[in-house]
Amino acid sequence: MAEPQPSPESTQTKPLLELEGVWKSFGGLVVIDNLDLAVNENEIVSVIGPNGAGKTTLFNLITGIYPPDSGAIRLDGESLVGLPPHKIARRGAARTFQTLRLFLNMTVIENVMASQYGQTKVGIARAMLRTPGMRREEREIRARAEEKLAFFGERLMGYRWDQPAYSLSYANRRRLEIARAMATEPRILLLDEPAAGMNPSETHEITELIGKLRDDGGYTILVIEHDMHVVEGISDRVVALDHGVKIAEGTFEAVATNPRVVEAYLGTSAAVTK
Amino acid sequence: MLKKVGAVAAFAALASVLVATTAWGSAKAPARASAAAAKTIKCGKTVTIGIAYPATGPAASLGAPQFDWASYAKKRWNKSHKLKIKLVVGDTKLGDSPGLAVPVAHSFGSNGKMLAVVGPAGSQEVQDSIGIYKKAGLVAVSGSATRIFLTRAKTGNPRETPKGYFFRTVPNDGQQGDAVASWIHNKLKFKHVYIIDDEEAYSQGLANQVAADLAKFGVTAGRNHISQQQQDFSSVVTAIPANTQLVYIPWQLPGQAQTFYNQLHAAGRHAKIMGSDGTDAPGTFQPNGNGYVSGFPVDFTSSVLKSFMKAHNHQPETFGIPSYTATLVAATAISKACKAGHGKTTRAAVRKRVPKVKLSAKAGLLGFGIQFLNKNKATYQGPGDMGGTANFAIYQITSGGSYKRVG
Amino acid sequence: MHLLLFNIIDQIRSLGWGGAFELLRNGIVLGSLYSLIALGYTMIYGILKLLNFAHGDVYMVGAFLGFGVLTAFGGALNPGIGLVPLIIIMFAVAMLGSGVLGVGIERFAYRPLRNAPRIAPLIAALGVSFFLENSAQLMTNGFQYNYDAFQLGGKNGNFGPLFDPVFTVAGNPVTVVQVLVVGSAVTLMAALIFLVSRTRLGKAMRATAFDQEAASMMGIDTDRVISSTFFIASVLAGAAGVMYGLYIGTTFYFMGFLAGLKAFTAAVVGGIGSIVGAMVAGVLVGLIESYAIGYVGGQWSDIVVFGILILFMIVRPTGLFGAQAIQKV
Repeated sequence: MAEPQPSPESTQTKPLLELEGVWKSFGGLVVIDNLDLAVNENEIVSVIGPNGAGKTTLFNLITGIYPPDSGAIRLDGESLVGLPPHKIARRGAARTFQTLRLFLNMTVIENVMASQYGQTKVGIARAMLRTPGMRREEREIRARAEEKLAFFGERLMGYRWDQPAYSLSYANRRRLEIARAMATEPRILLLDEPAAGMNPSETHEITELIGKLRDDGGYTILVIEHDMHVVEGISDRVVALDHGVKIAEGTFEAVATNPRVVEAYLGTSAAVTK
Repeated sequence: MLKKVGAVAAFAALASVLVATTAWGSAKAPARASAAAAKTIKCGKTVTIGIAYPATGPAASLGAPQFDWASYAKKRWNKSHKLKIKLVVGDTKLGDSPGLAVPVAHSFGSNGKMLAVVGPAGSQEVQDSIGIYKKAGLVAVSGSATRIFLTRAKTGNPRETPKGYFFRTVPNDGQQGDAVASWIHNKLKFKHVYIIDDEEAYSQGLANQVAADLAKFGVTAGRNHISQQQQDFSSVVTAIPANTQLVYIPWQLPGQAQTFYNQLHAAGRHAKIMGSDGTDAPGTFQPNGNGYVSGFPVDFTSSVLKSFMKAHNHQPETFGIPSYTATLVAATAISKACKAGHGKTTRAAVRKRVPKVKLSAKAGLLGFGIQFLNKNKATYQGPGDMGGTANFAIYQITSGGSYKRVG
Repeated sequence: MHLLLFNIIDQIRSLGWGGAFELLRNGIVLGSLYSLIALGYTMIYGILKLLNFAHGDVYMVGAFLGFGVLTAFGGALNPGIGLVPLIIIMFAVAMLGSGVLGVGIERFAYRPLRNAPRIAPLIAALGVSFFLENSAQLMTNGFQYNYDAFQLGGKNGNFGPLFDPVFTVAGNPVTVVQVLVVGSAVTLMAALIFLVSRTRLGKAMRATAFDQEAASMMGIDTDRVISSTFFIASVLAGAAGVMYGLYIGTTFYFMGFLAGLKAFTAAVVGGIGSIVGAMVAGVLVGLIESYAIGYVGGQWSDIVVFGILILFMIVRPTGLFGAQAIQKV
């Protein structure tokens, strides 16, 4: 498990993911309000905040589901604004979903194989003609998919590969979503409530896994999470949002005890302070 | 000959009786007709004739030859006459629902220059719109509406028909059915006949007529149906009894008839097939050595026909020839009325000229002289029908694919 | 009603086993064509939730493209090249041309409406259908064009080798063209199943069909996948058009309407969105039609086919393979 970094500001000068003055409103309701956010290479940043704080909107903006009204979003110095989602994915930003969105019509391994589509050249003729090169590529894709699944140990191993995705347990579906995101070969993983709906032992496992993703997988991670145990366990840095405004940023301890954060959570302040 | 898409034969017959007594009835009031009919129209250098036909829609392939032939009549007329004619097109979208025969009739009626109408193409269209033409005082000369009671009511009373307003340059279903049935029975002496209609009113009318006439001769014909959308007849072929000597297919689409013949032949069946004027299309319907059609006794050596074919991709489009004749009838009537009125005329004057028009067999192209009846004749003809020798001829299709007149 | 039943039984008896086989054969051949067209409806519905009413007209265009090739090589009665290369070129041109047409339809008529209310692309589909039908009508003057397929490769206007029997069952021949139609339909369908289940494009198609937004966030270029789906669907329709031309011998501008409607029926009966369902139900519709014509009478065939659709939808609204529709595009 990764220990929280004491001094998040002391990292490289150029962040991997950078949001600058991002605004987004829906029909007059401001959802993201002049947000600045930077995630550095190999860092794990958690975004917390009460429901309606704009956390998922933040992910949707980064992944290009809709563009910001104004402001800049850059990945490795290059703007993502205006790119279609699949191009952003190919630039290296992959995500999971709070409400699971697996391809339930496919098998476990097919889910992971499908998301490698972006890395390969696909044409109908090429796909149908089965040239030796194509067959090799197909084998590589499967091998890569197996490699990603192997990351989750025996949870998604062997016989599970060829089972339909809908046969998986809830926790395994969350794992598979992460594996699927990994298969797009991202620079940064955006995890939307990876521990939601999990029991304590599964939650513990996912906390370890996220640390392993950074340490062994080398991914930079931006995570939305409600479970403060998880947040505490994984975060190098925590950003708190409320009504689209960044109200606090810093170490877990600093943010969790910040009066504005406590106020934002109100009734649930107990959870924040444990 | 074209009739609007019908349901089942019996129902269509019932419906048509109702329409016959109601539709004509409403349009009988002569007082209302007089204003438009009596309005003086200057003939000038060019007179206007409307042509109501299906330019688009499911029956467009039948409308095209009609328009081609009417245009050809115009071209020839204008070459040799000082008083030129002009055709105004009304697309009735026959076969679409709703068809546009009625709106077309309204627009023709309100066209202040229009003196006569060629069409409407379908019998149902005539029924639906003739009341409007009557009100407007316009005469309609159709080259393809063949339903019997447009000219001859079931009761035989001419007042139950649009007498004086409707004429046709095509023999009616009764005449054609008689000709076909007596050919099958008296000349071919076939006992095992199978009839397939294409579910259109035209086809059902002829099929019923022939079946009834054959029954009079003691021949019971088998019956089946196809649709105009259908192209695969292999299962229909299967359903035809093995001992069948002749399959009668009074269809509108010659391409369909040819496909049917090919499939019949491919299934190893040796029955002859016989089409109607709808399939009278040398070059398309070619059951070589095994088929007959009933059709107009057209003279294929005619220089007029040859020059038409030259201009139209070598297709005689025989289905459209009566529209040529109808256009000539309308033009002749207008020209005479204009002359009598010294450069001015009325729709009523034109209308009254139509029954007096006479065309020679050579001029009318149909193989018989054109003159209209003013009273009932034989079993099926009435006022507005052609008199004289006008009827369908029977052609045999030779093994070389040419149509040889045999009856 | 009793009389009708009596007539049916009488007809079944008089046609005998030979007739029953003939109807089976006819139904399977016709049904193969319906299957190929139905696949297009089901694939496009699967990926866009759009009933592509223009699909039947793509099939019509395919038939005309095949006819154009045939004409360009001198026509069936006097083709300038051998029968086999001619047929191959006909298929190639028609399939490719229809495919390109399908991609064009999606690009220009449906894609601009991707985020419009569901009714808008539906209306656009009807519009494209009318556009294609009426354009074809204007270009062909509304005439039926004869492939002269029966005479293709034959001498002196006699039936060509396409109508030679390959084998006979109870004295009823199964001809070369019938084997060709069923054989190529089966081959194309096998290729499609392979493509959808085994290739990356297939996986991308299924992913896009299931959740377009999620798929795009997984790096899948969904526009391109949708284009490819239209291409494949239209290629199948184009192939069916040529098969029809070779088997039936005629093409005309309106041919896509009823064929499209029946294929659509098949797609629904099969469980719209299900590839296997469309294949099975296509043949089923062909068989029902064939037996209805042979035993009940031609005027009943459409009533029977569409009546069964209605009944089926009442009893099993998800269609034959509806429960598993989720499995495929």
